[in-house]
Amino acid sequence: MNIDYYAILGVAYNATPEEIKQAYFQLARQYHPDVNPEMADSEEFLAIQQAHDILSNPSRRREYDLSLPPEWRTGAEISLNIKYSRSVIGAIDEPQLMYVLLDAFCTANIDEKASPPCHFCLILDRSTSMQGARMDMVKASAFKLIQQLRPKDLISVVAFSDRAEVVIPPSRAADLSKSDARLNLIACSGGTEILQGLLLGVEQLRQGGSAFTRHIILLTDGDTYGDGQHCLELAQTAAQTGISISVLGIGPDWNDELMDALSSRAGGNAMFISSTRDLDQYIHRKVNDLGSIYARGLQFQFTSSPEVQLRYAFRMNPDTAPLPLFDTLPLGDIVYQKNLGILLEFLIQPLNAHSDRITLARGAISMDLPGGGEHKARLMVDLARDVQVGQVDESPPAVLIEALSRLTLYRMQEKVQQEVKAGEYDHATRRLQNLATHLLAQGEKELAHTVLLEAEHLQRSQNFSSEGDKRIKYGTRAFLLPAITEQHL
Amino acid sequence: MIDCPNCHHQEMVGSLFCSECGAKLVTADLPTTQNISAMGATGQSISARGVDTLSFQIRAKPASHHVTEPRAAPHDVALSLRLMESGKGIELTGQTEFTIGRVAEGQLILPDVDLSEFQAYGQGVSRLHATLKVNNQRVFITDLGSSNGTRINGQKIMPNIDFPLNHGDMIALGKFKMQILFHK
Repeated sequence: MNIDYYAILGVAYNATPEEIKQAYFQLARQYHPDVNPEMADSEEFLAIQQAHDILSNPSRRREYDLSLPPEWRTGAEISLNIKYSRSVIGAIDEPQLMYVLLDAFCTANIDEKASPPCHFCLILDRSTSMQGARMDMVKASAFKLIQQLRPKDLISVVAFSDRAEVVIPPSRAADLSKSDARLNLIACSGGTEILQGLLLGVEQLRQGGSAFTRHIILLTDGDTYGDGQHCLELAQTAAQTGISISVLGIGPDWNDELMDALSSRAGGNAMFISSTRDLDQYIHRKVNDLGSIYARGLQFQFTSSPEVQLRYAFRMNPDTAPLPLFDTLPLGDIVYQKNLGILLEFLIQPLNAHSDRITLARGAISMDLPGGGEHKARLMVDLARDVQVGQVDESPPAVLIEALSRLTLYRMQEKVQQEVKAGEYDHATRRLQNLATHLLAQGEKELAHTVLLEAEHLQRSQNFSSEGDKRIKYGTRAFLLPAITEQHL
Repeated sequence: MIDCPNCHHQEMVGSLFCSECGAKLVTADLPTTQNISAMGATGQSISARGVDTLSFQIRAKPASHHVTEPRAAPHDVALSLRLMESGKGIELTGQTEFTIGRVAEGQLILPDVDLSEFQAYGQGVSRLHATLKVNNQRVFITDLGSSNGTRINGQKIMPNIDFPLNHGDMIALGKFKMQILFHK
């Protein structure tokens, strides 16, 4: 049996000596008995020590590497396709934009058996407002979820209002009955404190063990009070331990901004649920995706030239979501036979002719490869372009234009939301009308109609109608999806 | 900065779409031929991949870019309009600016091109609906604040702002459809 020293240090197999040293220092600070006296059993620390001894010594590392199973050494079998909006950057004395589309695809053969079992944790809002039809819908979907799981998968269910309780502790899907009484007994009352639910949910996933692909599905219909910041922090720490989160919002009152931020930090996305069909479809797809996962927890850590700033990042596929602009960009997961599409917008400050090459983003995408024994891998990425004197007049690749034509509509919607907040109703109305025109031109009649109605409503009452803003937001976002998927059919 | 041809919003160099009105600011990486049949063909190949014709609605390059369209508007540009419903053609010669509309009773200023005999009223054409201009070998259309608006290839244009036209563009005044043709 091999001991995976790389996993102990949490580095990839092609890690540089510098990275190994850094990882070692970081862990040593955390686990050293002097720093942390309550960590009575210092086995962890000894393992770290040993891992460092071997990996920091070039000849011992080589010897150790040869003893590893070959699939661990090959690294990630992912092809990364990069499209730039322009092949060179013009040296001009005004700021300019550059778009980059990253398209990652797993080239490995599907190995369903090797993909690890999943552990789903449903966190259900049982506040008073969920009573009746909403709760019934959620329960029905939960049962469908249980039926869809493979025998090796785990499920746990947590319900929360102002406090949270475990409804079903981590259990094998096979051991649950098709109409588990515990789910049926959830009664609705009280407020909405999402943090309580999340804390208990994360605990369930930890109890289940880290051998699983762990995912939280949070269902809520209300805004949480005062604990938003804590929720975000929790999502971040959960993501670091490989837990991903998706949020399904029901009705008009949930806080879409917070839930977008929360889920995208943890590699997932938020969705607006307007019907049972939406809910069932989303859960069905999510279970399928996570069941055939190739790489999870992709994080893009990068540095840029001083003139360059990442201004916008969006996951176009498979789970559309705006990404938080952190130094380390959480990209999500890679599923077999599905592309991961990320669109980046870089702002480049005025350039002088002295620089001849600009680095937009150079770094590595790190990920966990759960198949065939958990291990880490890393994909080097260097997004850079040459600088050319004067303006650049060339056409961007058609793929990029297609992707952006859709994303532009989504961003128009974002602007409308901002304008409504700032009280600029005329601007917002006009922009909505523009948006409707574009949607109509692209054949999205139903969504265009919703947008037009909303424009009228906005003009009349100077506010969004109930659900209207969310319908448009998630409608335009859903509309982004076919742009990339269809190309590969 | 790039000037959006639709709403004249200033966009940063490198932008592909206007952040204000959503209009496209660049040409696709496909041959942008100017004749109608070729345009239809490219339109098809695009929609086969799930994209509609929006991408071809604003094909004019931003003003800051040097215009290199080979057949955009030849030196002695002559215009004609083909009315879609009746199939009739109207030659536009002798001037560099033409107002289009319909003649109604008691109207003081008459349009150069009168569409009243083609059921223009019923299709929502205003009395002074739009102007066509030939300027510097380029052709522009300006909506004169008409009641039902003007669309170029389905895209509504802003009133009182020049909008560049290409050979074969479809103009809709209200519901009244016609095609603009350039001749040498």
